[in-house]
Amino acid sequence: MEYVVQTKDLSKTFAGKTAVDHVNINIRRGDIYGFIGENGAGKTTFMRMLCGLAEPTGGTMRLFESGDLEKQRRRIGCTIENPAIYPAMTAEENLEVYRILLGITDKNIVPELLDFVGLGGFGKKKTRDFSLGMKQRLMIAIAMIGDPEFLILDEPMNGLDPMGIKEVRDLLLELNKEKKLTIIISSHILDELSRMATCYGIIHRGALVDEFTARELERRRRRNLKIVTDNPDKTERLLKTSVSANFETMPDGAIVLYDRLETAADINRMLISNGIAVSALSPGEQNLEGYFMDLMGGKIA
Amino acid sequence: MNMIKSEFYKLKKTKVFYICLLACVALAVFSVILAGAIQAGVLVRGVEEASEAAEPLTGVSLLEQTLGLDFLPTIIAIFVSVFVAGEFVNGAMKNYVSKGYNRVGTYLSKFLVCGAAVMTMYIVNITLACTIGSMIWGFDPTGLATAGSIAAMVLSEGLLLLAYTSVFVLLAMWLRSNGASVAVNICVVSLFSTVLMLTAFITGDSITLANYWISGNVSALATIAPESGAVLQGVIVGFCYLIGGTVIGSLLFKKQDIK
Repeated sequence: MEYVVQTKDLSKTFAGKTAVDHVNINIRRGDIYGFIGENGAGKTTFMRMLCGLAEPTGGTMRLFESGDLEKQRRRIGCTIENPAIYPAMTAEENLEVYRILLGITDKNIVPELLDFVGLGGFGKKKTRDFSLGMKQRLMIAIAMIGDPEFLILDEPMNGLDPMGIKEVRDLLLELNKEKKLTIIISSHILDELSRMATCYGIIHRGALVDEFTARELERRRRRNLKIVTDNPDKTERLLKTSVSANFETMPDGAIVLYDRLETAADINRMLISNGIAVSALSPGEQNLEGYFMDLMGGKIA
Repeated sequence: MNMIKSEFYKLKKTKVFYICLLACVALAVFSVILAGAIQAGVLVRGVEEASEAAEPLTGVSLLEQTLGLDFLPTIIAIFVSVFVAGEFVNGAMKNYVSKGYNRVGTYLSKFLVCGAAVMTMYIVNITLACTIGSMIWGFDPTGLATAGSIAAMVLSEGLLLLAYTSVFVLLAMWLRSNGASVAVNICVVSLFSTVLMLTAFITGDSITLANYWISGNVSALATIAPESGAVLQGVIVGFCYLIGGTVIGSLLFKKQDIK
């Protein structure tokens, strides 16, 4: 199995404050690694160390199973935090800077990449006049120039409209599938992340608190039973007294039951016999966001 | 090599370079007008002593005057600050470093391209001032200047400007902000030399600190007949700041986290 990133006790301290605390991460070739954490958890600092923008204060890191980080970083494309572009230049000129830098002789790569990210045909428009979404797309194009094998994307969905988010997602999935590109991506849009990632790492206060594959997440997610009735208050009372189950009431009045799921038929009968009209009784399971919130709640507590 | 090519491409696309180049042209024209006006003013006043004392204007004397002024280093300070610090302000430096390029190489390519731009501004400025002056008053009617003395003056002043560039690049890379870099670099040109002159009150005649700073040497070498030892001192000071600034700057940049 080939690893693209291997870190061992990777740490970063700023003026006595630990931003990344002994993080051990292994990313395999072909993975889409979803990196999750609240603001200030250390995601960006970790990614900056991978890119060579910040020097680790402890631990070691290997890229493509090599310790020669400078050389291996030529095989990486990244977007970290805000879009880093030249505002007085057009999208084409921005890409041209990196085409020359990387010594790519094929000039067609620039319009091809712009078309690929949906920025073809913006001609003389300066990037300072671009929307945030357009800037994000341009950053992805910049990250992709030079045919990288590994993309490091820090919040690439920021500022994108729903259509743009879908386009970027499809683009990344295509790159992963067609070109076997390995991707580490951080995002606060966990639902979106769960549609792409093949494995996840959760970072909290600088420490990696959990790492699991998408398949493991399937197993770990809590199953539930959603009950919709014409009388949520009475339903709540009955569930408390008769079933003593763990549940919560949603803002729309639906009740989500987390245990005693095997007794769904009995619960239904009990509610009907108490004069409650049950309009829906559907099984479901926790999404990535719910799992993350549970995990964070547990850690913080 | 690709890094330098890429830097030149950015320079070609950077507005601040053309604005500063235009300022150098305006500065050359302004220095000719100013010199002419001062001479005319002296003659109009009819003060015989003054008119006798005033040296006749020539293309060479105009070159000397242009080189002795602080205007060109100020323009260069602004250009370098915006060109270098802008890279951090818009975040593009992240892209460079994350592509795995050597930090020292990145710093040196930046410095080399700044140096080339500064030399272009310098050549445009002095050529224009000297050409206009020569067209009006003649190049050197008195025949005092030799090719060697002019070359020594132009080359040593060029070296001192490169030394300034090295200091400006260091500060801009360190400060990483357009506003702060412009302010500090302008202070380096104008305020720092004044502070050094003031220290003469403390140190007395025993040591003249201004001799060890670029600005003092820029003034001392802005003549075709410098004092004995001035050229050597200027060249040593120039090389010290040029090499020292580049070495310190690249080492600082190597250790610097980039945001």
